[in-house]
Amino acid sequence: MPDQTSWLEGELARQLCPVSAPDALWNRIHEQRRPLRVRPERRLIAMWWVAAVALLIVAAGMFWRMGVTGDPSEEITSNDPRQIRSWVKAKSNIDIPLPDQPTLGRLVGARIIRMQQYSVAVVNYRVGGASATMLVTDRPATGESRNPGHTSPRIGNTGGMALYSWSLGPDNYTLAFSGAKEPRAACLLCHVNTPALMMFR
Amino acid sequence: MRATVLEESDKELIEACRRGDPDAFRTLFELHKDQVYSVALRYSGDAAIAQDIAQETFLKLFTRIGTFRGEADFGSWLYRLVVNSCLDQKRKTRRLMPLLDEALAILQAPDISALDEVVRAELSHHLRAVVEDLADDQRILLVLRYTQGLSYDEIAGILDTSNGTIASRLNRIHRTLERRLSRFASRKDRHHA
Repeated sequence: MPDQTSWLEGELARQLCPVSAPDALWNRIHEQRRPLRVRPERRLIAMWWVAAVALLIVAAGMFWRMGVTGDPSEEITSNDPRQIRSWVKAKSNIDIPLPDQPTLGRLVGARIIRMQQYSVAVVNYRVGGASATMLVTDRPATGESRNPGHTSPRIGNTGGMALYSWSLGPDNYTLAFSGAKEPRAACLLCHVNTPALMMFR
Repeated sequence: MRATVLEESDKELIEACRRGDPDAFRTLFELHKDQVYSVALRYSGDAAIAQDIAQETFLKLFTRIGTFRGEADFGSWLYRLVVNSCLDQKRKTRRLMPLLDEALAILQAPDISALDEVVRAELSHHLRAVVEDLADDQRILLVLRYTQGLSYDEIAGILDTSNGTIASRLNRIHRTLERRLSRFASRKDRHHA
């Protein structure tokens, strides 16, 4: 073809032309729908979750023997930050400063776990197709585990889960997030451009 | 998303995002979703993978907007995010293009005047497969050039290389495509003869 170069240019422009994003894309990012495909690494995460659940069952048995209670009635399913905040405060006196409108992410619910002398508030939410769990306890941290202030977070990673822990006021926080590709996305529930998020970079 | 200096309204929008304003995030998403998705789709050739890439790109954008410096070019910065997301994406599920058996059957048609049209249609079909066979860094270059219509300068800024390197790489890609298409066209000629 004598005019192959110009044909090629035109054909590349035609075949690679821009397209419109599907309407569901924002929901996928904001409301955290599961990704359309299951990738091998996600299967591994799923396996990790199975192991984690098994471990939790064993731990629950041990906690029960130690006097820990987890009343099923102390659970709330809601995506309203104000409702969750006031419910947790009423049940445990732990005040979690959730924003009235999350920057990004959707709350799923919360529950209270009773230990012998203190409580743990567990807040579940989803962001970017992945699950996040925030645990908050009013138990004072001791020794090396103490991190005074939100600006001294600790970061870890286990089994494909990102783990953050920090202190805020009298309470200690731990955040577990399964979105290993962009672990800081878990922080978007409350933060965008804050010193706390910067610490995780 | 062309590489231009930020307008005042864009700066305000980005500032609002940095303050955590959810409405600003939505607006920024609406402004750039088609460009991000287009690059992702044309790079991957698969709608599901493209949505994964776009999702990852916007999550990166939202978590890193605090590091974006206003005097930099927002368009280039966003392109870098999407290009990196594309290149990170493994090509495990690369779509297989249909082979050319159907087209070969059409070529049995005796009408010589229609032959050129058929060959062109078939070449066009074949081009898609050839593009999909290119290396990742070559394909992303084609997408930036032909999906987004970016200049060599703009692409060089995004990929952090020189204008001359981009020109030379694109030229090499064109020659590769032409060579592979020519090979295909001669096979067709022999087959038809």
